[in-house]
Amino acid sequence: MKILLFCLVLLAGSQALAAGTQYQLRVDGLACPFCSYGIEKKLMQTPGVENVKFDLEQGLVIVSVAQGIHLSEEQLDALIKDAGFSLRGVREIPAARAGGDRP
Amino acid sequence: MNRYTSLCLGMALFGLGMLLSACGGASARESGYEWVQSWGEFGQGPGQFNDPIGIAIAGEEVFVADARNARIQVFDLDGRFLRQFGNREQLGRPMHLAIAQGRLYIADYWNDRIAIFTLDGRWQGSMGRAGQTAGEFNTPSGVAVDGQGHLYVAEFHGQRVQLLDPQGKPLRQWGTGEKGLWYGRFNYPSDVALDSRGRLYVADAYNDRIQVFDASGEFSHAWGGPFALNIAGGFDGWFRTAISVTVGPQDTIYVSDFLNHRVQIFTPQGELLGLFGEHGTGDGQFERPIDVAVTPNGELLVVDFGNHRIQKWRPIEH
Repeated sequence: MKILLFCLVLLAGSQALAAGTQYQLRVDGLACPFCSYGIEKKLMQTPGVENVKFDLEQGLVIVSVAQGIHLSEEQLDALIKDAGFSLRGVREIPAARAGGDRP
Repeated sequence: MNRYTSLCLGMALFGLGMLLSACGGASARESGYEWVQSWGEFGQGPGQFNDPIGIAIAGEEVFVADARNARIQVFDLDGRFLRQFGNREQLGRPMHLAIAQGRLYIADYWNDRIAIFTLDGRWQGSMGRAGQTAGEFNTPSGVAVDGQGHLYVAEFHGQRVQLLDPQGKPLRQWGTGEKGLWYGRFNYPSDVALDSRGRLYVADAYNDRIQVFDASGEFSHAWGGPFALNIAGGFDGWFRTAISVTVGPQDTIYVSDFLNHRVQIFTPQGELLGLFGEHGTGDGQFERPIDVAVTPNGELLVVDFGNHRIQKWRPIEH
């Protein structure tokens, strides 16, 4: 029984570690859904992107990617530009920390 | 025109705009409407919304595009929930709506097409696909249908409006496909409407103006800020993102003035008739209104996007 519990704890831990990186993108002018949907659409078409959320009050786009996927600032800048906006900054939250925050 | 000349022209227009507004442009007008009721709240259940956007009325029924829930909800004119239809295979992000010949036309922003349903919710197919060429769409945001079944489609990122025949064959387009400031070009057009004379109204959202094209398709006039040249503001008749346009009885024009949190009402020539709304979450307050529909009684139903609800307003009787 103890071994089973140990295995479950180990499995849960590895699941958390398996979570991918999260990127917090600062983008101006996100109040309009036509704008945020456009960004969301572009990002969701990018391989490895699993989830896109918005904090409209803070002007943040929160992008979660699969384990092992890395998006460069240049790549994110091009995606946001393609959606008609300017990227003001990127904060990368490493996999282990991002795992706890994921929906 | 070089950059310096453009800058000087922009500053001159802005200065002139300030002068005009100081000379009476900012005078308050009576709204002519009073708040009646609201319905809806954030959620996924019947009567709840997650980003309500488009609204249209057929007889005694109100159709609302519930964008993030990927569905259409139907209510009676007093906000009682009647039914819902659409699923995530049929609808990506349903935006502005049009009703014609017993069909509901939905600008589907994510699937780059116009989705078509009967009014009782039966899928009738779609028109268009993703792309930049004639007959294809890049984020369709608004749709209007004329008496012959021709479709006018605004494309937000496509920076144009297309006219299609009832079979989806492209007939013409307005705008070049590139963002532009001058008349006849667009800066993220978000909605379209037709009046009784066949004139086309375009909510040129980020140029903060309404553009009008006559029945032959030629540019007629525009309004919104000084010379309607992308100067946003909170003065009467100005816009901060003109995100929807609706034509009512007697060709009265209703515009959702998104970031001014109000609805403005105009003649077809752009003369201001009234305005109402202020920022907030209380009765009669808006958090970014995004569309307007007119009931058979002349009441207005306004989609209060950020508050996830519909508000009803009625004309004040004197």
